[in-house]
Amino acid sequence: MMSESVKRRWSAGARWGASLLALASVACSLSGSNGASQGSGGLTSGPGPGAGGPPVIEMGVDPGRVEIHRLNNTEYNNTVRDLLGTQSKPAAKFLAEEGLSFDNTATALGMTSSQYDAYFGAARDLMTEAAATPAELTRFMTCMPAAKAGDTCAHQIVESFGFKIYRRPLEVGEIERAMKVFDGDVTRGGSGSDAMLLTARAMLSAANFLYRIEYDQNPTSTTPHSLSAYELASRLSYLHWSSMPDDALFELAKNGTLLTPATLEAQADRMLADGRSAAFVESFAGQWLAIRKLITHSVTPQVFTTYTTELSDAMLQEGYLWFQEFLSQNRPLSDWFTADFNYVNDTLAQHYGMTPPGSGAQMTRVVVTTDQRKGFFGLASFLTQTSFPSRTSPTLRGAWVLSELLCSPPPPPPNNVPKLDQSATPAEMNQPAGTENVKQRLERHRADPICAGCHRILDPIGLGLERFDGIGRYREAYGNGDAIDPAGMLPDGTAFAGADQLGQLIGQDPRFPACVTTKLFTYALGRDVEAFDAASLQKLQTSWAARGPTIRNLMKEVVLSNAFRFRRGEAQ
Amino acid sequence: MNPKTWLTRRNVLRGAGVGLALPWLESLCPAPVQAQAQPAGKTKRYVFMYFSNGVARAFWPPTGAGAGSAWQVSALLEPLKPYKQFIQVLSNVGQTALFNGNPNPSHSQLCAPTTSCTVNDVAKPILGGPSIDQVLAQNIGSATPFKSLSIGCSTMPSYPDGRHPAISRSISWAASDQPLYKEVNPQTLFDNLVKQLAPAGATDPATEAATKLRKDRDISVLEYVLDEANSIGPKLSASDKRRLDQFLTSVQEIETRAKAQGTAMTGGTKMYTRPAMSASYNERADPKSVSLNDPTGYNRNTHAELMNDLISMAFETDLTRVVSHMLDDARSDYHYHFLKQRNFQGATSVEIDAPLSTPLQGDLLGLHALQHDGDNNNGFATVNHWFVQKFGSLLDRLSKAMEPDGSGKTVLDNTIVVFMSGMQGSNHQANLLPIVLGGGGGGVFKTDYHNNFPQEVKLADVHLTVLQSGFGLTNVTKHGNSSGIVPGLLV
Repeated sequence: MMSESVKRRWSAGARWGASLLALASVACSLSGSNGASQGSGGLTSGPGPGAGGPPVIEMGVDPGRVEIHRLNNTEYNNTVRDLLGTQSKPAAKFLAEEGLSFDNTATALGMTSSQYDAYFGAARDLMTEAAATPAELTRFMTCMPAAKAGDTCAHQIVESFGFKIYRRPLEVGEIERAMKVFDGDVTRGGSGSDAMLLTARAMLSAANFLYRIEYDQNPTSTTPHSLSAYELASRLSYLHWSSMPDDALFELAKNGTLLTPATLEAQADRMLADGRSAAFVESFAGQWLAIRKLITHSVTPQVFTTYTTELSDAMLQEGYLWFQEFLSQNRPLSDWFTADFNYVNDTLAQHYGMTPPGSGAQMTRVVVTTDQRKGFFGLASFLTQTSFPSRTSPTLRGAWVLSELLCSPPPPPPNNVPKLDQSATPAEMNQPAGTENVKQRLERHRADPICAGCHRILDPIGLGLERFDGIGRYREAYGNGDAIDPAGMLPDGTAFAGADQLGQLIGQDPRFPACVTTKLFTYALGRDVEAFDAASLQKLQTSWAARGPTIRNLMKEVVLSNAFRFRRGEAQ
Repeated sequence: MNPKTWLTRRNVLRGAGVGLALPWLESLCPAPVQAQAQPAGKTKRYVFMYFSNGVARAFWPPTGAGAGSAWQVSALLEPLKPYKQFIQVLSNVGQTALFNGNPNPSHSQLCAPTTSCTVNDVAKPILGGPSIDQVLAQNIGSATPFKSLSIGCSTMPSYPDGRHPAISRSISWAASDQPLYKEVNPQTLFDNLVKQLAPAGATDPATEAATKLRKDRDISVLEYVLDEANSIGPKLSASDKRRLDQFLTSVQEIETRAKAQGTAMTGGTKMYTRPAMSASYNERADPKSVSLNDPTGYNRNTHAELMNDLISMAFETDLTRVVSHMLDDARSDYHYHFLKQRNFQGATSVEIDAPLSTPLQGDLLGLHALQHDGDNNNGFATVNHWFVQKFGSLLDRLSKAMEPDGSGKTVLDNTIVVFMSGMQGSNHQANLLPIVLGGGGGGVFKTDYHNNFPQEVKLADVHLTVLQSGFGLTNVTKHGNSSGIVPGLLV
């Protein structure tokens, strides 16, 4: 049980990513062999040779700082894939991540001895695998090390492979430290190859590999400074690919041109077009829009008899593909609630009451304008993950819309929730007429003064979505036969009817684009938004609006922002 | 003979469907490794066994008070009847003072039982610490390969109510911002433990040389990693240094373990089999699962029994002396639908052929929903009863495991298990906490006793008593908001 085969795959993403990945893995020759001779590499904060002068930070905008940043489980898997060409996913056995806003928030990524034990074992296993896999071995074993201390070939590999492992050139002292591992194993009687593998394993177990470490020349100075070009390359690659930089990025870091806005912009375009950006969709949209939650969501089988693994897989894939279209087609954010397209396979089409496209399990883009399903609020992934296992929860849907789309979360529930006298679960299956429906139950809930404070705000939003059941099917009546009135109300008193009108209202709310900005900013930096970020966010809003309000443009503006390109130390 | 004699041919733990009421494996090994003799009475062990969401209080309090026949177990404590001679039930222990008189801490503060701290930030993983198990780990942990183990049974995402997930998922805190996330996978835990054990029986020189080479290489890698991390430190700011320190501490612990790998003596004659069941967070939920959100093939009862096996194994082999174990996350809404409903009446309960349900909310509910339907509802009590059973099954194992020092004592004799929840019941209150102590802690704590305190005793004082009287840590003068030890707990 629990085998890899039961894990979900986003097959569509894998499909369009595969060819580019194959290309990337071929182009593994190394350009950084003279990297160390260029000085302290990642430890310098100025531009490399060839840059047109140091980047200039805008005054009055504090870029903040990101703490040393452990690779999360996804990033670890992707990084060793791109580094070694391995298909094994060692992080599948690691402890679960404890994400905060996102699972790449640096401050939430701690380290315990059992976690380190897993990293330590993974590095050993990866090198054991590489030793037995020529395609992996030849990526870094570019010459054959001899079993002698200080071997030239070993030195060369430490320098070139170490560059990729640490995502920057190694300092002289770092090369010497690694060579001590090599020499030690030769003394122990290891062959040149054994000693090399052990040395690589040591570097794969090191803080410089497991963490993204950005250095301040003066750690106690709060004066902002530019990131080094290598640090910036990693920020870019972990944002777009949840993985290490590729050779092209390393090359631009080496010659310093990456620090210029024009190059940055061009790289952002290139990286998004690369198949590896599927990781961004899965990770960012997967978490922000809670599409990922479908993996652990289940329903009460007696109530939702048609809910299967295939169906929830299709919902998940639709969520990713839907978001992906906003990126790849550069769709304006204003389409978010009005765009009338879906991605379905035969199972999901049936679920939606659409004519199955005949594509079997394959997801296909369809435009059906004759149904009630439109925009984000029509996605089964959203409608399902905000429901209880056995029924809709207007409260959860309302809370989710407020906190995730408008970044205006309701206060947490009171500590002492009084029990609500309620009859049988108002399930969505057939029930006798007269049984209390969800709306009636919530009305009683709101009659309780302790609950009313929040439920008055939350429920009326969700009640407007009641025509979609707990797994996202359209309906016009409850299981007991009561007709569903999709009347809803926003916290400010604006009345609306149904998902369509709710979408129009949220789409016009200035908090929506501001919230998207905050979410992407948080994800891109891997840190929480702080009070001083108000200036950054304000500036982003303006520049984004000027460039045109698409998510792709927002990504570009984030990449060009001070917070992404600069950092500072912290006062003692 | 097979050098890996901790593997046995007996497939007791073959599948998830197998009932595991069996005691941990007895020996099939003809030439057991003899444990090193330890001075009798020196080894003391601690388990913090946490269960979530409180209890249906109507069925919890024992009748009578005092020692022996002066008190009797309640319906919820009935699974402990066979182990009555090993336990001390505490009534009227709470944290009312800690919460400034507010008797209703939020679910987000329910891990406070181990830290006695109330500070929790919505955004940051700060609860307070170190937790009681970590105070012990820091003081007695270096005697064993694992300073402590943090383990648990959850496999589903937490319900942190918008707060940091660590607050509901971790009861072990090395410091206020260092939650020690628990290991939930019994196979991983087993693998980590057996690495430390010496193979029973003779090994040939070739195997020994290979083992030594492997170990030397592991250590050389770790030395490199430590050396390098130490060289980074001076270049970092204060908060980055703190994060790097976490890394260094973790690596050092693995280095210590690597050096001792394969040397720990298996205690007595026991042999250990790798659990057949794995479990981890974020596995694909099985849409048809009886208990919602379970990964395919998962069974919570099997999981809990395996964790008890592994605690017992870790103690018998003296791989650790400190364990924190969460039977479930705080504010759990796990669906315990592998259980059948029990009807509670008087001092007993009977299982009936019906799904878990509450009188007001019906069935198909998770634990949190069950909990909020009152303190006298059978659905909620059924889950509480199961938690108590798992405590009982741990007591059973430890009471049958003999100390390897030849003293004739059982492991339980020298262990103190604190079994408790962080809240009272459906009302979230932090007074009248359900707490049972198991084991005498080396003849220190009263057993077969119901301690019904006339006035609320601070939980932190119970912890302080464990630290000072139970483990002789007189250097620890305070834990959380403690004011002094509770002599009434002691023999």
